Amino acid sequence: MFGIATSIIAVGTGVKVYNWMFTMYGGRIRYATPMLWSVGFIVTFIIGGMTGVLLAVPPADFQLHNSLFLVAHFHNVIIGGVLFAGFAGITYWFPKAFGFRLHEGWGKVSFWCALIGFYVTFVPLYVAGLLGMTRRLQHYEVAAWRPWVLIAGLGVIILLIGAIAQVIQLVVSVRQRDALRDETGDPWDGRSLEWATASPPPAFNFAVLPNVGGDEPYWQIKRLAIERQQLAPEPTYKAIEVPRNSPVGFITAFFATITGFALIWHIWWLVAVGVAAAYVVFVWFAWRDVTEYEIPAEEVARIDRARRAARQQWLEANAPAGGPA
Amino acid sequence: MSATDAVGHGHARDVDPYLLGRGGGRGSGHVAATGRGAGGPASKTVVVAYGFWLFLLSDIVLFSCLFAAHAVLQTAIADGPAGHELFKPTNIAIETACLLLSSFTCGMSAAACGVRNLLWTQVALLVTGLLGVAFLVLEAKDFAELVEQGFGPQRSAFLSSFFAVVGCHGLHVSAGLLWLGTMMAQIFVKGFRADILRRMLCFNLFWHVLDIIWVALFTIVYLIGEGR
Repeated sequence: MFGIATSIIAVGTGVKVYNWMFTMYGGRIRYATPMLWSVGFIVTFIIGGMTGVLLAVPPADFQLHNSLFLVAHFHNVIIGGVLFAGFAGITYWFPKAFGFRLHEGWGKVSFWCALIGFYVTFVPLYVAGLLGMTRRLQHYEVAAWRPWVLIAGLGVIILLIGAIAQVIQLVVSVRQRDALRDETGDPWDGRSLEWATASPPPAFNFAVLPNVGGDEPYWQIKRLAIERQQLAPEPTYKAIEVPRNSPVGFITAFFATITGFALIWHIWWLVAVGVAAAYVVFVWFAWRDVTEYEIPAEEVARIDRARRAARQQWLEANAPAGGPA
Repeated sequence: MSATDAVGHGHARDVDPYLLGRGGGRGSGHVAATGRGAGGPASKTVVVAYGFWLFLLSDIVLFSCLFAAHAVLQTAIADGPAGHELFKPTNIAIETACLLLSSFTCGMSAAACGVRNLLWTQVALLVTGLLGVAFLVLEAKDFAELVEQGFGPQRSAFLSSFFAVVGCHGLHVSAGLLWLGTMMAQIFVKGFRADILRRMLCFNLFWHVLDIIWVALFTIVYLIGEGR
């Protein structure tokens, strides 16, 4: 059963690896921090996947169960697969969410420490696992394991430096946010539509709804603008209706958590309080008469014109040497 | 840069015969689409119903997991009682009748809502609610009897999964009844406003899905369980 489940996971994940690589294939790869994390993720994840596929063989699985080999495999996919990819995503979309980029230098320090630290920590654990070391040992008396455990300890220190570098990156980025400001809404010269609006996006997201007629509408718009050395003509701005902000989701989640806690510990009166309070908040929310407000056309125009001005500036600054092509 | 200018308008009219991609659908508070050209965001009725269907589908996935668990554990009675020793067919038949009838009256409330008849909407909703309460009372009595006899969820894996799947449905009905009461009060106070009509649509969907789940539950837990 476990062997079958492992094989099934391996096949699907193998296909995923190809689609990540084909996404990059034929593109011009720039090794900015998000791309470093992505490539680090793919490589690490493949290695973790290959040590995992060994576990689909039941005799091997019985041997390796509960060993440090398994621990190393697990962290290989979790750190390589979840953390690295997560960091890639955070670094990539941070400017879209907050309006300024993360500091590249500290990001690279953090990436290299995490990548090197990861391998120095977990490759020795593979070896120790093959030498028979199990996990969660309070102490051990096998001399052969010692060098590998010591190397892994060194790796943890490198990983720690990487984690500290990441905290520093965030602090430095916030302090230098004016220098790192993303004016155009498109800091990476991106291809997809989220980069067509300002960073951070205004409440209405897009001043006019993008008309999507192909695979890469934004790329097409951008190429056209560069070719003509001017932006598309200004659209007619209209008022946009958006939902009012509401804290109800947060408050309901608070009472739902209280209910869950009380259920686990059999505090029945608190269950009743939690459910009743969540219901009251729900009714209060349902009773609102005004759920939306309108952003006037002038306000939409003001925000979008500021973005267009930044774009125009970017266009002129990046004009090809020989004039419009 | 405006996105609309670079890309030609597609032939949306040909591929969207029901105007799902257009604003101003029935029940929507907005006649004009907020987007440009022939397109624009779908009407609020479509968006709200679509979102609610996503929730309902996820709920159905949850129930299918409980059904699968129960199907596997149906025979794991740990020397305790099996289904056919516990279930009372008459009770279950009455419960089922209550729920199926309530689905009918719920449909009537939607029909009355459609012609904006306040009185009949409220009457149909009230009858739906009473049938729902009757169902819940019968189910609670069944549960209480089982627990009293020492056949609670701790007795066997079969009973654990039985209480999980039937109880989960019962919880849904309870939540639905709370919603129904709120809905009646809202219609009473606010009348047939566009947003109230959208909520009625969602409530109807919810109540009918509970009925569909009961039909599956009836089949898997009671019909098949009776034979085990």
